[in-house]
Amino acid sequence: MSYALHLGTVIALYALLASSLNLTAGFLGLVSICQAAFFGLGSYTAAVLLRGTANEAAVVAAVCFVGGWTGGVALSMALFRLREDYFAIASFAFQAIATTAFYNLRAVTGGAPGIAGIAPLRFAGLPLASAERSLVALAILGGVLWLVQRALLRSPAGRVLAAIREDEVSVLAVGLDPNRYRVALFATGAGLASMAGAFYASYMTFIDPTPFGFDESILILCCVVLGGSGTAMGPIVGAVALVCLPEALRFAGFPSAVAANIRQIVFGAALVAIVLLRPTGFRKTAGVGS
Amino acid sequence: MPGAPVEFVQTLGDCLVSVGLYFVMGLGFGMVHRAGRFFHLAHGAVFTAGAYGVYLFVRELRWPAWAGVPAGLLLASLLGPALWMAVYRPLNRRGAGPLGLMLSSLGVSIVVQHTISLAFGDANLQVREPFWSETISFGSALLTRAQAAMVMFGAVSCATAALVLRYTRLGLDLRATGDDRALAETVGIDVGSVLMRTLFGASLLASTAGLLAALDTDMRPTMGMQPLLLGVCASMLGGIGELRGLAIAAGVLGVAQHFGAWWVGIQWSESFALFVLFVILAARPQGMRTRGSRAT
Repeated sequence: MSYALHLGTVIALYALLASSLNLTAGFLGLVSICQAAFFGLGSYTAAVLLRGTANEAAVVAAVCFVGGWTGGVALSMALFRLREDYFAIASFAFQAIATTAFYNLRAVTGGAPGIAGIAPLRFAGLPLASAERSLVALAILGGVLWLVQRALLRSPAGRVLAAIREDEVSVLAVGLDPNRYRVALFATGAGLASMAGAFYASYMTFIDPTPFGFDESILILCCVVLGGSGTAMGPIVGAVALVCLPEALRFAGFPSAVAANIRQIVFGAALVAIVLLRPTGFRKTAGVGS
Repeated sequence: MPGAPVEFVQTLGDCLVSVGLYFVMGLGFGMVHRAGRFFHLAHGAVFTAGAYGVYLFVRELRWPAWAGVPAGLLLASLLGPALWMAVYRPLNRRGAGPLGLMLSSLGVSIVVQHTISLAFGDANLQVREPFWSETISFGSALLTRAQAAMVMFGAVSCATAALVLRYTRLGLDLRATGDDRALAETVGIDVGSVLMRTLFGASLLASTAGLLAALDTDMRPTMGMQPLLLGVCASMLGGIGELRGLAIAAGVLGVAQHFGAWWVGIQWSESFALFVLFVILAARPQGMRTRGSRAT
């Protein structure tokens, strides 16, 4: 039972992370490979806030969200001229820099050994220490995010987003500024990933730089791409599939070191396969001016 | 801290080794980008595959070096054309954009890296040999044979690339394909074959560099990531596909990394280079100079 709860919590966490990336990668077609960096930013922020003492979830989550949001605004403003592969590769460089920072800013992050003894978040006086409570909290967050995405997709703003993705010139022609939408969505996604980090730190009580690296960013991207980018449900489906896969491999009797590699191979192959099967999912459909 | 001239000369020597590596990686990556206009991120995996390919033939299968080394490098270098046929060409045909190609190349690099992990283990493999670790002195700088070979390999590949680009049919076709693919096709250039040969050449460069790096610092499945990133960095800094720009950029990165380490600590030197890449992308996505239709 506790195993199922843990699995559920991890799925909810990845669903949240994948949804946060989906805002830009799916809705705007602006793919970045640095979601784990924001996830880490939030985790370390929360770890500092929760060192030794439990803290109110709303406060910590808000601080982490604002931290991630600010980082997201800064990053997307710096890169607002870039599109497609250039944007992705710049975000990739950002991820690599962040990884180095997580390992080397020992005073804050504890370096490779990490930070232990992180106190749980408290919600209305109740510590979110157990898997049940973490799961409920994450599931509620994920559910809200799902509803918001669905509403957004059906709203006029959602149609603007689709128009930015498909035909930016038409958006400019009606007097809207696509970059404002890009920055807003990218920052929101970064803030959400950072907030997910707070729940992760509180749930695990220990963090080190491993889950905030390049592989994790790819995994999050895979969740989005595999589930169906640009839909509200896609990232959740992707998270369920990709979190359950390694568990299935473990049950199939592979030793964990082998299973870890097989898992990565499957992710990589899935990424290639998806791009091959849906090649036009990664290009702007021809429109005016393109 | 900056001090004795001996230390300065030694750092300069270490610099040249890095410059050679970044130049070679940037060259292959840049040529593929110049011809095909996409980011070939599996280039780092080819680097790793070069080292492990040779290891497979020479150490595991116990082939003699004169046969095992070329066999291993060839095996790794064939990854380039294989990738073209299995992934890039179908994607091109189906109208995928550069982002699709980049993501798929990322997927391939993950598959290759972890397949190597599965086959040879995640751990560091010691492959340094006494012969290659022996030092040669250049003034007051000491370089191992493996390091000196990397410097020479950088110089040789620079000269070769310049000659190939300027004087051979492949070089001409490559430049034409990169400048205007539709026009190149119209005048009868087999664009697919140009890209495949470019990928093969780039992979040969990367896998040889991987082998030399393994002789210098041993090998691990993740060894390709750093040279890839810095090669990408050098290539974009120099203006993609530009030999002269690339050489200068690799030099700047090497100097910044090694001499920068005097002040900021060696663990930040890679970040510094990536930060440079980041700033260049943000400020001048087209690289430090705009490419006209000049010869090279």
